[in-house]
Amino acid sequence: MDRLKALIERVARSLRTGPGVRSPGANPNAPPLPMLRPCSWSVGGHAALMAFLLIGFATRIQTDEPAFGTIAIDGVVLDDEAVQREIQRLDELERAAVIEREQEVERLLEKIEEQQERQRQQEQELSALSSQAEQARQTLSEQQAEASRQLSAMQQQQQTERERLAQVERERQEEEERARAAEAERQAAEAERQRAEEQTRRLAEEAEAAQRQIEETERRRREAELAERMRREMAEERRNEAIESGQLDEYKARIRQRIESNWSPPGGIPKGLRWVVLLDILPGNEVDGIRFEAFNGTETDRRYIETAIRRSSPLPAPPIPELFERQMRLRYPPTEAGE
Amino acid sequence: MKLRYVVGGKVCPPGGEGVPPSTRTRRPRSRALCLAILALLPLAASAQLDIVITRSTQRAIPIAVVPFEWRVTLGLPYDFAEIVEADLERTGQFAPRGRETMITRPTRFSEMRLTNWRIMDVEAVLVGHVSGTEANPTVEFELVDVYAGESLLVYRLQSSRDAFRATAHRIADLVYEQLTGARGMFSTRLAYVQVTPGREEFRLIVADADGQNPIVVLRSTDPIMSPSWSPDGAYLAYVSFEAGYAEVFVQEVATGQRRPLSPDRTSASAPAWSPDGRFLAVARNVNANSDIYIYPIDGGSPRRLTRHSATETEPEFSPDGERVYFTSDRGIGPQVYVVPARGGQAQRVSFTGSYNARPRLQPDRNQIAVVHQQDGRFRIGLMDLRDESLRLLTDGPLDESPSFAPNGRALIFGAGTTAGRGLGVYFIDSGVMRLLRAPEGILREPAWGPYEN
Amino acid sequence: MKSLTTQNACLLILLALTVAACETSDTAAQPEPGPEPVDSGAATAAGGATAAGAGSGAIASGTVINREGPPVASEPGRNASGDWIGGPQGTLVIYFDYDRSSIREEYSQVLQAHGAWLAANQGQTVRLEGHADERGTPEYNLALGSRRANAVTQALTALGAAGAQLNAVSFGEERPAAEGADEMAWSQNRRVELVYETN
Repeated sequence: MDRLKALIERVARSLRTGPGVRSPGANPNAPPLPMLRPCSWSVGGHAALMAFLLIGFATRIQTDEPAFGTIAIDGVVLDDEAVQREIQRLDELERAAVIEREQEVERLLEKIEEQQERQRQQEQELSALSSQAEQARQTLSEQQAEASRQLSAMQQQQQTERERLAQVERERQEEEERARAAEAERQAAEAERQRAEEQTRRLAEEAEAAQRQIEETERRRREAELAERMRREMAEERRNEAIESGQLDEYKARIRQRIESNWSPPGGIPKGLRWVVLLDILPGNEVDGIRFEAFNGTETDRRYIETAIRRSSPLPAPPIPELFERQMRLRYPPTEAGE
Repeated sequence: MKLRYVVGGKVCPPGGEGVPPSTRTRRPRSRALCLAILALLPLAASAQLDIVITRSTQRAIPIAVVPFEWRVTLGLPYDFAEIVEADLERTGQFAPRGRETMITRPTRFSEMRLTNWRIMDVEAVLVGHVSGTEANPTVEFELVDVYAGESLLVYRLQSSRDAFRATAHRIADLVYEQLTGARGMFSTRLAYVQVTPGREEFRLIVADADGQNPIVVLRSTDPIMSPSWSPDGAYLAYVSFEAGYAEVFVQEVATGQRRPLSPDRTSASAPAWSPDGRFLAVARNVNANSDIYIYPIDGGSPRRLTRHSATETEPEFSPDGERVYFTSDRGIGPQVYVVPARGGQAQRVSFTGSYNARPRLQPDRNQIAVVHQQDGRFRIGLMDLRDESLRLLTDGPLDESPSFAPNGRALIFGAGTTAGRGLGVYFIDSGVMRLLRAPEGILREPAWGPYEN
Repeated sequence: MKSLTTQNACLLILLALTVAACETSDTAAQPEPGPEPVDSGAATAAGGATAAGAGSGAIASGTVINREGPPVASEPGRNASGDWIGGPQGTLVIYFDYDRSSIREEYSQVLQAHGAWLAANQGQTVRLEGHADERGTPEYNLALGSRRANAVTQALTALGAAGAQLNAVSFGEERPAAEGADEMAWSQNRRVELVYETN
């Protein structure tokens, strides 16, 4: 029964500290099935990280989406699809922003083209005016330089914008990469969780099997016990019948007579001799062991008692098998009420 | 005869070959088997059967005395085993199996197949062999407990041509002691009186305990009575009528030298030695009044122990020498009394019946043998000094003069049977009586001698 | 006079002893009430007393015998008919009852004759050999024979013999007169023999 307890204990222990569930935050004294907590920690952590990134990104593009925060904080109801959806949404938002920027650049370019058109008209006016005023050309040249400066500034701005977009793209890719890594990590965590679950399940099954076996053994034992008790009771009944009918007394008398007829100490029984002998009886009624429990005679007296017993072996058979006893006690003399 | 002790007690034979498994080596295996069966047996309801043994069975123990192998190169084989067997059988305590029933004749334990002897229903087997020269052969023998499967005795005795019989009796002594726990009495001697037909001659005879080797130590035309052995077995005191009246003499057995106990040649009878051999208690007749007197053995004046007008006779010292038992008819009929050996008040000891005489103490027991008369029959009885109960051992009708063997397990007496007079030897443990008779005349007044080695 | 009454008493004692012997069924003597049984110690004392007055034994015994039978002849040792019943030619064996040392009444005349004869022949000595039958222990029977011999000694001294004339010995059961293990033999062996010794 102790062994059974120990087995259950062992199973329980392996459940508590199952392999692959090594979380530093896990409390070893926590109640059963605590592995859900390390799992949620892990998943929650990733979600929070992602949310942080997204929030950072959204902040930069000045887009506030409170739904992310909710998801990130709760983090509990996080599933694959949601993440995908979120990622998609982020992509769409990003695309819209880029388009908007491109359109803005387009508009600027159109403005530049309009400017250039106007410049050309002015140049045509200038050429028309030709000789006119050097001043005017100078001014124009200055204007042209200014325009050029402006263009270059615009181009510079455009370049900066392009770089910025590239940066955004890079960041997006990085984010994607991170998301993938998070996904991989999540999947690993998931696999780990499943493995742990599998382990738990298997251990539980084993424990159950052990328990079942124990119960089976116990049941068999109880059945055997019952059968044994019944057999014993029946034997006891037959024994009692034999005792009541005097068969036991007759049987004992036959043994007594056999021993007495073989007990022939050559000087007769010495006065005051007392002995008690315990015999081991083999199933063939043969005497096996002879042990003196009490004896106050000489070595010769002892030898004649032993000879009497050995000569009497095998002893008379019991009238019914139920009267067989594997031990028998012989005593002399008869009058010793104290014993 | 030189007796050389080699090994005594329980000794297992050397060399394991042919040695049957002893009970000790057999036991554990059987116990394991027993445990296995125990597991199979559903019955453990009550612990054991309790059986009360109420008595034993008086039965001669079946034994076998195998003829000793004669390995002496020269000389006629001497049958030691035959004498040993006769000694043991005579006690009635042993039933030797005939030689013709022996399938094998082993000479040592290691050669024996115990099952064969168990089939013969033999409990103990004596085996042995004789080696060396005929003048000084060595007799080696071994006593085997067939049921226990062990050697009880391993011995080697040095004998000599003129002591073969004595060696055989010595072997019988050792076997008897091992099998009964009481010292053997086969090496002791007897003294008794033989009366020739017509009472022409009275002979004082000393013989072996089995009646063999009788030697006449005194011949007389006058009656000889009451021989009594000194405690060391060297002297005999007896009564002779050679001077015309009863007179006590002390004679050295070996030399035949003798002298009257009393220098003044007073009439006395029924001599009994003190345990230290220094005194003789006798019945002395003064003015037809018999009383007990103590005589120093080396001369000196006697001391009167009883002083009564009735007849006091048949003294017997207690083993410690402190008391003297005797017969007195101061009451109605003769009864046994006891008096302190230093003198004092006599007390009656026997109370059963009207005639209990000639007390003899059984060595090591609180019992005395007496001659008990009832309805005209004189029988030897054994009286318990503690409860005064009397057990009659013989039938009579004219038994007298009981005398115990030194081991107290047998007594010899003058047997007056309807068939005539002889010496009866009664073996107390078996209740068997043997009669020793002379080829002519009658044997009477036996005295069993002490241990001699 | 003193010795006379003593001797009277002594004879009465002897008779009483005979009566005491009759108590056992195996004796032929007729029962008769008498004085208390007297043990041998008392008899010894009486015997010692009579020894002093041995000289007047003949007269005394004659007086006593007169009471019971015909007058005795004047010659010591003979009876009224003149037959020798005392002395060396007289009745020399006194028989006893089993385990008894008291003299039967039938021997009073015989003992009287022997006493008278010894008194008349003071130089003559007689050995009184007591015997017993084989029943009982030899040593006890030796004492019994001794008591019987002593009983006769005392009777004779009471009847005139001198103590110095009498020599009592016992052979117990060692010298039976008849062999055999029956009453016929035993009755012949319970006896005292008077052996007149030749000088």
